[in-house]
Amino acid sequence: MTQLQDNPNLAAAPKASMDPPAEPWWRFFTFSTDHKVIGIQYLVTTFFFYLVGGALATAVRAELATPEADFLGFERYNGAFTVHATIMIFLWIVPALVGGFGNYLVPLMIGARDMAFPKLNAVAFWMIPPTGILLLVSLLTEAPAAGWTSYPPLSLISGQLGEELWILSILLGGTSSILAGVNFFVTILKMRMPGMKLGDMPLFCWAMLATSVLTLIATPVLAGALILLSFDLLAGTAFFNPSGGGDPVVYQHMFWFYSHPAVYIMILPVFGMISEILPVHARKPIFAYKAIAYSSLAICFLGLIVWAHHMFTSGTPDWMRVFFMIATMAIAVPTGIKVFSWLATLWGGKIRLNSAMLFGMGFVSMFVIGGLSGIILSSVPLDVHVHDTYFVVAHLHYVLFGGSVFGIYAGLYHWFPKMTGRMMNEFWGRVHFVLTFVGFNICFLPMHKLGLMGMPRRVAQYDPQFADLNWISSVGAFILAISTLPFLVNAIYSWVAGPKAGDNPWQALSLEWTTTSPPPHQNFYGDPILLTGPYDYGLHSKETLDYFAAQLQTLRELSLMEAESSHS
Amino acid sequence: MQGSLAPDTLMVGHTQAHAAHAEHPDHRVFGVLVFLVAEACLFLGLFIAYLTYSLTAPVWPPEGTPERELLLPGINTLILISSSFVIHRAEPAIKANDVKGLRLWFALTALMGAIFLAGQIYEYSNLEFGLTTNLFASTFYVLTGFHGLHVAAGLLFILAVLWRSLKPGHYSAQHHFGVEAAELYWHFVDVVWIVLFILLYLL
Amino acid sequence: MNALNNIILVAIGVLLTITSLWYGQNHHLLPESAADSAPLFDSLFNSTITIATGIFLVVEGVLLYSAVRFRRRRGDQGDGDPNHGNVLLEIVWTAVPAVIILWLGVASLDVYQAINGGVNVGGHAHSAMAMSMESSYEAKAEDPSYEYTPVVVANGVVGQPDLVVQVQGMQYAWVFTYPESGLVASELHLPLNKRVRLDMTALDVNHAFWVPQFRLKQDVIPGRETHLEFVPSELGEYPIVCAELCGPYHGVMGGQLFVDTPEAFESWQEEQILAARPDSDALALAAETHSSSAFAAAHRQRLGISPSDLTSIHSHPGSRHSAG
Repeated sequence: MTQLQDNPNLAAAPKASMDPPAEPWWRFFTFSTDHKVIGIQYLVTTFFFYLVGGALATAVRAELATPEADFLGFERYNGAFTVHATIMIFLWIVPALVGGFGNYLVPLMIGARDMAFPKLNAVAFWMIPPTGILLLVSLLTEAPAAGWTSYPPLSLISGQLGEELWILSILLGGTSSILAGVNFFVTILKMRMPGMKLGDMPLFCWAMLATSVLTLIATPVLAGALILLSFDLLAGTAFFNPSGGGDPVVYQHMFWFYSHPAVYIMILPVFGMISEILPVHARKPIFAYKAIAYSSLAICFLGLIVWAHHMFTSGTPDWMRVFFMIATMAIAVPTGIKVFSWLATLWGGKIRLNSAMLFGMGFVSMFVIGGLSGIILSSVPLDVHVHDTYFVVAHLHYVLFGGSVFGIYAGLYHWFPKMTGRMMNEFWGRVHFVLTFVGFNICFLPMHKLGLMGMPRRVAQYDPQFADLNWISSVGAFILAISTLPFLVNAIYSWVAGPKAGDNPWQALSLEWTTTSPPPHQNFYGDPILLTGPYDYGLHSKETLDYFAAQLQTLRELSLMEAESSHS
Repeated sequence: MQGSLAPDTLMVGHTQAHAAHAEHPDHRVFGVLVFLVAEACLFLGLFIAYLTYSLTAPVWPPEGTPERELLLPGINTLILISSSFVIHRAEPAIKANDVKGLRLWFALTALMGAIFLAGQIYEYSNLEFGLTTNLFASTFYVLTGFHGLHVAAGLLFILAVLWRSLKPGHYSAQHHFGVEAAELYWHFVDVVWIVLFILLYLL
Repeated sequence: MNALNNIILVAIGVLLTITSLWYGQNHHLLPESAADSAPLFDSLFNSTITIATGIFLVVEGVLLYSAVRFRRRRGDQGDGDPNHGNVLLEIVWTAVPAVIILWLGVASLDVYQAINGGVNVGGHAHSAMAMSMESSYEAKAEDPSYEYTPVVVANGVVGQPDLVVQVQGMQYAWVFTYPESGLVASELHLPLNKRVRLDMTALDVNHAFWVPQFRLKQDVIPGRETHLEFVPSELGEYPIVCAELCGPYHGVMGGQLFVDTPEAFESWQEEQILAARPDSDALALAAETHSSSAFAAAHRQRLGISPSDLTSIHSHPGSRHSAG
């Protein structure tokens, strides 16, 4: 092979053909096996469910604006918060992160053409819409009203049809999740481009590896619990019903064996995304790559042995409480390593405070609050007071909204140009951030105090002494509801008519930015090449980077010509 | 890979990668193994729930549970365990391009699986307790039934491989993923049964 | 210059410490405390809040400082300092949280032991613990002379509880039975400074017994007995909150707890025994106090249902809906 620059044909190659062929819109409604199409399908579908879950949350907060149960009423209130939580967990955060970002980014980041099992991938996605439909139908019948935890015996006596639909919905969503887990595990271990070792992967891939391990081990146990619950509900067995010799606490153990790791399934991918976004916009290498990668694995391992900290007041024996308290507290160490490494990544950088970065830094600031309240919850004597109160509601929203959702928004702003080929509007992105940040804190900060002062969670009617803080919180919720509008309009408008992004609008170094925006069907023109490490900011001169870019361009043109000549 | 590559190594990388790309390595067997790990976790969860019930109860099985006969389930167990050895003969056969051998061993395994299921159904119909008799009865039916479903699925899987093997050249020494996957799945079902048998009948 | 930096750093450190210490004592996040173990909770909570405030301020401070100090200047297309690790720093920020966690773990264990009167880490579920669990087969809720091994309590006193009250949770009320006098009441009266043990069980679904002023909570579970043990230390009236979702009217399920002087407690008990008609039962009493509330209709269905009736309700699938 001759030197590329000498190839006479290249000079004549028309520049216009370098624009990637636009994905026809109808492809997003088909059984596509392209991981990028599937990723976007996941993101759009789950965002729709996010809006539904958000509407339910707004209804819940409207009910709680006054102490009396005068908006939804008692029964509908319980249905509303149950379905709100279920949607947000099983139809928004988990599928958006794993199915959406995981699918879109992992193959690109490791230089693969697609996932290991593209058809399985499509099957997993197409389980999501029926999951959602089952759940929404349950809302229209007799809504499941036992909370997303669905503890028996309450779940056995409150609306049989709704409860069974809820179970079926989760079983379907869980199956989808397991199939995705198989796919990611195999893809990350087996499909990396030649020459890329595990230690060369972007940190997002490490996070996805840990996430898929958790999914594979924990989700089946939830399925087991729900199958047994189904038998109790429909066939009259008594696995969890004390009147027939069963034990409701066994359900709690099985449920939390999944649902605590589920928390990490919902946050580890975000940790990964933040580890991608911060270095790009701070123009610095990620601080302590290895520590962040291994701490994901540590969290994965510890996450599997802490479930009973949700059951400190369930009559759990003392040795169990002590063991789970210590294990839970230990998670603070790897989590702390990540947070401090991110701070060190920002320190001394040249920070671009665009929408992606604002949400990324917003994530760090909010997640820290959720982490600190988590420490309080991990201590048995402290948890005994705050368990099942609004303090827990505050904590979980700081982790799952301030954490996961802020992270998802950061990811959307960051990778939107890659996914659509167009830039989002910066001004409206910042408006979105400010509204979300302010609304979020007004909504959830007062809940800490509410819980500590004595307000239990999951109540439609409460002691009038809590009226003021609840009113403030509801105002925050409405701001939060409104805050999605600028994002929605911005995203739709930019997708259609935003300015062209080019391959690499952020001057980022990981592999997905070396191909076009959006990438072609097989992701790369020719074969992907590792020109730099994913975080080599500040390590190469501008000349070197320009030279790399020129090389990429040449290779791309060469492969296009190869493709053309093989056609004719 | 931290650091940069010189232009010439860059081109080498390009051609090497091209060669690897052409081969399309098959990860499906690995995928099946990973999936079976998830399946195993499902059964593990159910087993641990069963153990919890049996260990926290003062008397297990609860008083009044009729005695279970061991002969038929014992024979059934032997059949299922031996079927694992039978299906294991299929792999060397297909690796030697012996499709007839493959068919023979798979048909034999399918037959043994069918006998196991029939025995299971016979046992169900002759048991003196029903699904809701007591907690032990419920766990018994759900665990064995859930396992039975897996046996049935494995049986269908084996029959599907048999059907496909009728097409000449469908399976060969190089391409026989279906054979391997069916065998792995069958071994898995077998191992689950051994644990189940020990838990439900022997302990 | 370097000296100035150091001075500024020290000043910030001192300021942070003072702020954290101050907030740890002045957060006003808790209601008044009314049990003798509650101050132990409060001091642990305050120390934890102090540390949390410190960490919070450091992290948010570094974030804000970076956002301002290290923001990209207009026209600057360069990269930041390519520093990607510092072993010493990493060891420090692994070790410091580990030490804090270790302290919190030990302190929590201490407080837990004091509140509970001895934690039996190696023991099994049936040993004598204030919040131990009992399997349904051995529940001794009906037996007032149920043997209870003495435990080490917060103030160092070893002994039996002075008063045992049986607590039953049901949708949507609490019923309290005083086994010594046979008194059944819908509100809980307790004598001041006497060690009390609650033997709790639920009739239908899970509930949780929570008195925020006592900082104590325990799930109340059908089919097993759970316990709570404490010494009320302040006279007054406190809410009993159900903290575990138990149905649509979960938010309305509450009760009153009165801490009386021993004399007032005795006279209350006598009054109640006199007032109790032979035909009145626990559920009727419970219903009276709530007859005007929104769930009265739902509640009335349950009147007269004894635990054994409930058992049969749950085993008949057809009657489920009436129970919900």
